[in-house]
This record gives sequence, C-alpha cells and structure tokens, in this order.
Amino acid sequence: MRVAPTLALMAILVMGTAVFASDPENDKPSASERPLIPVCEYQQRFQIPAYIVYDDNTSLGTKSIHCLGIYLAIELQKNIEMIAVGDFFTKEIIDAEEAVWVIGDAKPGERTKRWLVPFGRELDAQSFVQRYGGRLGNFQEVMGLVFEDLANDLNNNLRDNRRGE
Amino acid sequence: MRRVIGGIAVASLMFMLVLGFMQTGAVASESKDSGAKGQPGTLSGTIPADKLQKWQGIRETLRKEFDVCVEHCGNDGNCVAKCEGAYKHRLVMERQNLLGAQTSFNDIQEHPSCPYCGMNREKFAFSRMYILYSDGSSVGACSLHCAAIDMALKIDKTPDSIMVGDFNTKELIDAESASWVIGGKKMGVMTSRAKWAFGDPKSAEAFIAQSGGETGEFNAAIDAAFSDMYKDIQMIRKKREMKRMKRQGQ
Repeated sequence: MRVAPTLALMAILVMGTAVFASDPENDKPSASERPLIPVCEYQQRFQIPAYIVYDDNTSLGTKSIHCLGIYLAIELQKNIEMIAVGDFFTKEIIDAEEAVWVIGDAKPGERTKRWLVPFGRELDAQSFVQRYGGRLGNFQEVMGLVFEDLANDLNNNLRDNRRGE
Repeated sequence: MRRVIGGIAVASLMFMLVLGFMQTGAVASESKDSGAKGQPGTLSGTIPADKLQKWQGIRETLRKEFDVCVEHCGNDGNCVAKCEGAYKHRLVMERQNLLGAQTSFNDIQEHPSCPYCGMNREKFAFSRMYILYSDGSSVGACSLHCAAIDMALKIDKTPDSIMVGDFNTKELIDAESASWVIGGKKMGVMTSRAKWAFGDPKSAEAFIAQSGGETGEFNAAIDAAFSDMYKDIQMIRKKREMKRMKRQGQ
C-alpha cells in the first residue's frame, strides 16, 4: 500500500524531469532572439583574452583588446561589474583596470600596430619591457589608444577603398 | 525492502531533475555569451548564396565603369565625386534588382531598427546610416556611433557604399562626400557630441550659425565618433558609480 504514494511522487518527478531536462538544442533561443553581435575581426590579430562581466550576470568574451573596446561601446545600457583580461605572463584572469600594461610598437609585418599587453605584477611588466621594449601604462591610456587605432584603421580602409586598392 | 527501492528511485529521479536544471542553466548562460562569439550574417541583409556569384559579377562591371569614369575626369574633383555618387547609387539599385525587391529602395523598410541599440531608424531618419558591403550584405544603423561600431567589427570587409540621412531633408546621401557638422548645442544620437550630415554645405553652415559646431569631412566625423565612444563610456560609468555610492550612503 505504501507503494502508491512513492509511485505518485515518481510520476511527478518524471514529469518534472521531462520539462527541465529537455534537449539543450531546443532550449537555445531562436536566431532572432539571440544577441546578435557579429564576430569581431580584430580577434584574428594580436590576441589577448578579455571579458566584460555585467551586473546582470551576463558576460562578453573576446580574444582582442580592440574588440573589448568595441563591445564596451555596444552595451552602454548595461552596468559593468568588472573588465578582466588574461595576464600575459601567468595566464591568470586579472582586473584590466588594476593591471599594469605594456604599450609598445609592433615590429613590421606583425598583424597589429601596437602591443597592448596586460600584467598582474609590475615586475613582470618591467621585465617584458626590458626584453622587448615599450613602456608602462594604465588601462585608461590603453583604451584611449584602442579607440584611436579603431578610427585610424577604419579611415585607412576607406581611403584604400577609394583608391581602389 | 520496498522502501529502500522506492528511496533509491526517488533519489535517482531527484538527481536527474537537478541535472535537468543544471543543463537548462548552462544553455541559458551559453546563449548569453553567444553574442560575443557572434552570429555572422544575421545582423545584415545578406545576398543569398545562389546569387552571390552574380552579385560579384555585377559589382565588378560597375567598378570597371567607375574606373573608366574617373579616368575621363582627369584631375577634376567634382567630376570624380559625381562618378563615385553614380557608382554607389547604381550598386544599391542593382542589388535591389538582384534581390527581386518589388518596391523601390527603402533602407528603413530593409532595416527598421538599429541592430546594436534597437532604436527605430524611422524616428532617427535624420541621423540614420546605411552601409553596403562588397559581399552584398547591408546594415542599417541609427547613427554614426552604431555604424562605426559595425565597420570596426567588420574591419576586414570593404564598405562599397556608406550613406547617411541628411539632417534637414532626411534623404539618404553619400556619407563620404557629405558636409559633416561635429558638435553644437543639439545633443547627438547615442553620444553627447553630435555628428550631423548635410548634402548641401550651405545647410551645414546655416546649422552652425544657429546651433554651433564645426564642419568636417567624413574621416573627421569617424575620428570624433571613436574618441567620443570612450569618453561616453567613462562618463556613464562615473555617473553610475556616483549614483551607487549615493544610494549606499543613504
């Protein structure tokens, strides 16, 4: 007789499981409902992992500091909890605004004009400068340069296009 | 014994239920992040794959005609500008024909809202932009701010035609040959410093006389758009931080 309530509970749980454990593919919102941000083509250049964490528990991830700048400009209505980047030396995730940055000119032929490299420790940044050149800077300065690069790259593109190159 | 079996069954089902919840949660967070990974092509009106080759052929022919036109101009800048205007206009029209559109070209119908901020492009017809890329895809933005974001994201793509709504007439004009006014008393769209385009330079001067600002070419407007982007981000974050601190202090 005690089997009956157990079976009833099992039936309820099976139904609950069917509802919640549905196929993950079906749970994805349709294409029209998804946030539609095109792939940022700067990611194919010099790569540094970067993330923006918003206070609504959503996040955006990219492999480029330039893409980070663009994403910051897209989601203006959201409150940023933290901007994080990968420490170039330790590979750990660090606060981009607290990081020590190395700003340097890239060598000819490299797919970026500038190095914008983050470090968690100043000592690591200094030893990078000693080895590869560049200078120390902060996040504000880096972002200023990022938006300068974006404008220059776009204007150069349009100029080349006008010339038919 | 029955109790033990029932207990095990319930426990295993509970586990499945929790797993189900976790799965759903994982998908939800994945979908949030998928925006960064991107959905190429979903933002813009793209040319169908079966028509892409034909489009490239049309584009090539028009480009050759444009080059011949420019050659005939010599050093006459006005003549080159006319060739460029005609080339861009024909690109848009040929694309419209290729896509079999029943109505005449209407960028607002093609892109009713801005893909980045969601703003109504009809409402912001005086600042809206329309970009036609060399692969035949197009994007309609509400302002230079969002158009610049699109072109920066697709930095390896070539824009064939960039058009902007004339501030006064709201008609689409060539953004690269328009007279731009940067700044002035009137607040900008998606930015504090405005960038307005005028087809007639005299209209730009008249606007400056009334509302202030400075004239500039398209590249100056792009420079201003990007330099303002970071200033606006910083300003917004600072304001929100101050509000948060005020709330905490109360």
